[in-house]
Amino acid sequence: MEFQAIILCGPGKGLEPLVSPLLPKALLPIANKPMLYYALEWCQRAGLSSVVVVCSSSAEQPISKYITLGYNSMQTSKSMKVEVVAHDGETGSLVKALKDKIKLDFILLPCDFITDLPPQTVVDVHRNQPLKTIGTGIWYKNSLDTMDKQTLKPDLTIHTPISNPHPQLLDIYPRPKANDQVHVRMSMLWEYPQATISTSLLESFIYVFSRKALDYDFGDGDAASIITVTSEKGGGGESLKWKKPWTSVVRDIARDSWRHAKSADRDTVGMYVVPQEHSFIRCKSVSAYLEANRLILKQSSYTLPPTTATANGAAIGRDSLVGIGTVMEEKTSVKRSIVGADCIFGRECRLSGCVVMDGVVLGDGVHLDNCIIGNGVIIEDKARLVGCTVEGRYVVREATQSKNEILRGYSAEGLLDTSDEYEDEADEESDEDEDEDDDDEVDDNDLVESEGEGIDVDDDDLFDRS
Amino acid sequence: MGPKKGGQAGGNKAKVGKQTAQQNAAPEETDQDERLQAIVLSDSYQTRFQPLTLETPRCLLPLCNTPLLEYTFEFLALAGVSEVIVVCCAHADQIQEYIANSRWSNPSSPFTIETVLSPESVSVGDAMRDLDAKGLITSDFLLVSGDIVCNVPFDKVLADHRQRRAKDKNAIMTMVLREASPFHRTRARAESAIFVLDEQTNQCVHYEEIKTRKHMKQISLDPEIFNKHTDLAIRNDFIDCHIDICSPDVPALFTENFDYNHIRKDFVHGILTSDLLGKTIFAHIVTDNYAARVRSLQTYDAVSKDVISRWTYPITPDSNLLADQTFQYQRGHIYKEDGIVLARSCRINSCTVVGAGTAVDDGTVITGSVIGRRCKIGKNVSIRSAYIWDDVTIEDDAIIESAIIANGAVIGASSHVAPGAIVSYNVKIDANIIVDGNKRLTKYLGEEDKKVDTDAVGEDGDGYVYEDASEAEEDDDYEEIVNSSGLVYNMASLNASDTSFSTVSADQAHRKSRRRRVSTASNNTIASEDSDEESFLREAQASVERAVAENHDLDIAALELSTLRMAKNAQFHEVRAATIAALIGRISHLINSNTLKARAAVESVLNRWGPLFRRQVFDQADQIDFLLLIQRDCTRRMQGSSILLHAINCLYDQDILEEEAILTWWYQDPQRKEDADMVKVGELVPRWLDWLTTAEEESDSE
Repeated sequence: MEFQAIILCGPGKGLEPLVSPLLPKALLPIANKPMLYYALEWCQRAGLSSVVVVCSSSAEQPISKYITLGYNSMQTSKSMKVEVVAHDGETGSLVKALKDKIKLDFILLPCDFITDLPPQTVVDVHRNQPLKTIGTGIWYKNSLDTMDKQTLKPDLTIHTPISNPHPQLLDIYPRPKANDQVHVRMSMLWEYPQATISTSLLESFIYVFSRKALDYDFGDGDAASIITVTSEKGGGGESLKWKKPWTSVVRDIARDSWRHAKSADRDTVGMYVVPQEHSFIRCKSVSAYLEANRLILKQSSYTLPPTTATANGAAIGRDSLVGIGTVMEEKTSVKRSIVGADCIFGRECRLSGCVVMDGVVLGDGVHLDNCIIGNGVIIEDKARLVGCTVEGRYVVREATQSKNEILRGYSAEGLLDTSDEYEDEADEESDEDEDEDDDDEVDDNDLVESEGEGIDVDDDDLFDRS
Repeated sequence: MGPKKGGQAGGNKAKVGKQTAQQNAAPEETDQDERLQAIVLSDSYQTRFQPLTLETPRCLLPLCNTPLLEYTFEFLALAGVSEVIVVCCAHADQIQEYIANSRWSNPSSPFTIETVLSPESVSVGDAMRDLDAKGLITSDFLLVSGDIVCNVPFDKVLADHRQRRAKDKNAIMTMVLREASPFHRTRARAESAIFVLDEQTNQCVHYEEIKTRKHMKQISLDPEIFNKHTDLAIRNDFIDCHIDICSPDVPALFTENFDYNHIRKDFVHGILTSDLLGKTIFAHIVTDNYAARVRSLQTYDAVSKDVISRWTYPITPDSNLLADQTFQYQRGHIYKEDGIVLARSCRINSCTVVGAGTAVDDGTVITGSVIGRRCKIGKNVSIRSAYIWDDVTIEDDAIIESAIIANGAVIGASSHVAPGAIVSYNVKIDANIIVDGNKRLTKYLGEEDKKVDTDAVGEDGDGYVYEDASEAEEDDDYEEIVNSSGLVYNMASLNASDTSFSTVSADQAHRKSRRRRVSTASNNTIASEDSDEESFLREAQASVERAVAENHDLDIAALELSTLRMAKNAQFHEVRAATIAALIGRISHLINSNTLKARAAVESVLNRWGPLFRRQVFDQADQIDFLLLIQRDCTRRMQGSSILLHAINCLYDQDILEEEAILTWWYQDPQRKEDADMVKVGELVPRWLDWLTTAEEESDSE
């Protein structure tokens, strides 16, 4: 069974202010390599021959540039074909739109996952599924204590017990608001008398699907009536069914497995939960991004490249990674950190648990603890930052002391939002709201589309949904 | 063998408990913890086994020739119970006598046994409150009903419960649930439920009874529980035998909440939904062993078959639970006692139990049935899947299928007892009679005075058709119970097929659920109309009932109805049906509670509320429809004919019904005489019509 991969590159709303039009999420470095690299490498290890990278039109240019100049030139063997496609719209419609490009069964991947789970495991799980399984989705449990539980907010995933030989997805509900009752259909409980509602499972957005799923029209004849009725309400035809996030498409396929009594061999959606011994992180928030960097650091500690440039007396821990061309002055120490290329660090700087991107300039006596410093940031003497996120090209003034803040420049966006501190949180929330809208009911999907909050929102729905 | 062994084990345990207690220097507490009390509720507080239970308590009905209570005691002995308290309500004297004469009262009995009278209790809740008041409960106890068949080893269940209790005093109850398929034959249709459990701890967080009749579409969960539990298992595959381990808090909580009656519907639901109490309930899931409760005729049949096919091992007929039993197992699940007289040409097929002293004559075929002791079975009789108790006489050429024939009954020659029928104690059925599947015959009269139903039992027969009237009035789930409690599930609505009826019932349930699923899902438009109509009727009726009960203003009631009608897009026909159901229901309630006589009741209700119909009944066609609706409604009420008569009179006086419409309805409408019930309920109307026409003539002549 051959597979094709589709990697979806979203804009990464949750990672602001680290991402920008010039630096889309897919290219954000994790341990000095763009995020996309890890997804591509994962595909390579799975032995795939063809990968389609899908991104929003605004991110197309930088990403294709990376693929041609960066990724492809790095590869020794050109066995895997990588293609970049721009698409704006819902993830569901996107998959449908790629119908012509997809010739085989396909694996849908996000660009922002870091895992030590071997790709072969995922493929094997799907191969071993019963015949009626049209696709398999991967879910994971958050294993990080440092993650803010609030930012995760997983949906309610209803499935047959994971201890079953072939657990099956039955339904997905958005997390209920305070006074909403959660309704579980009896028809499902007659068909699947053992169902489990999980609130701890997070969607990995890795789906292995049979190609015939693209022809899926939600049953035939009167079995399709629910879908047809709701789409009529939405005012559209057949195409509408796919004009929604991919997760909703999967949910509808899963629902079809118990909603209609028509035939015994209905398509089902299989489930696989990443076992506890493997780590799985999706970089959807700043804290997850930091953790992903640390995870890579842990994994690759034995293959640290030789540090190219150091000055006398600078101490770089073996648990750290420093890029090419970086210069450090005396008595500077770097622990558990990742430093990009071409940085200049002054004297007596202390870095611990930080991610510093390329071309960052530190003055003397700068102390950074658990910070993320964007490209080209300048931090002047004696600044002390703890748990801060600094946007690219920002200048931190001398002796600034900050804790758990987001420091960003007064870009057009910045002007609108006066309170910098709450920015991140607010973004997360709006994220969530949109998610709930799509998941609420099928007929709500239209609303999201017509909300018209500009490209940003659309893009976000497009890729970041989960 | 079983009880003795259990007894020793129990005794040993108690001793061990004492020893460790002394070592641990906490004597009393440990000692008490090791002793296990069991409360046996001998009464079911239901009427499903009537008329059989009119004469014998349910727990003494024989299942495979052994009274049900024996199975319960056997289970308690195996579970290592050291003290049994039997709560008696109906037929307490019989139960006490039985226990006094049984081996469980011997000094060698593994547990001490005590009977407690609770004559006033009409529900589990009452019994629990009574127990609480008597102060008999000293520690955690096992609560069971007197009609369970179970071979679950209990040590693990008990240990788990005690461990939880030690950690958290609020874990007041552990329910023992058996895993099966949702359509399992021992899963009582009317009483199955959905349990929502925490996957890790098995804490029960939600309980919802499945209402088969009301086409339940979904269950609703409080979002709050998702904050407390990450993984919740929703289970629709449990057989709930109501075997619970309770802490002494449970009876106390029943006392505090005097409105709790049912242990699941009220108590479990109440505890789970109450934030204030903070008590928790856990489930123990049994996968390998057998546990079932005989709570309806349908489960009586299923459990009998399970016992015969040895699912309940070691509790099988050949373990001879009663001292004088001499059953021996033969190939093909045939159990025979000593002293049976079988004619050469009779055939005893597989899965059959035959008791001592029974004689079977030539040419008779018995398949998959239980025959009691001292029965006389004639020539060429055919008995299939039937339960025939002691001292029954069946004459030549009779056919008995899937029925229960109780002690001392006589079935005449060439008579036919159809599937589902019940022939109670000492009923005599004459020759050449066909007993329908839905008939329940009894000789027990209580206070009523009735003549022998010669239609049902024949000229020389003896017995009456039993009608279960008491429940019809109060219980709106009546229909559901009747349907699901019959020996043959829903046989009436099903074309009788040749397959054994347990599969029929499973099929039927399956088909039902299928139908339900189809109607909720694929046929969306039709289904939604259906359910709209249904829900309108329910809501509208509730609205009127509320208005009457709370004495609302007439206009407000009318407004509420018309809002509902528009919201649900309902027809006036439905509005009328709902209003009639509510008002006649009220009248019937007044009459049945002896508050008012029929006439006064009708007048008091209709004079106040009749004007509602002014906004529902317009032309003559409406009036006829209205009359038919009343007539139909009255057929299911007691004194329906007089309610009908007075209602017509009253509404005529109010000019809601016109003479012309009444006459058309009476003389021309074919639906009026649709069936026997309709005709019967109209029997008093001609008198009123006479009055009407004479009155008219008089007024004409004036």
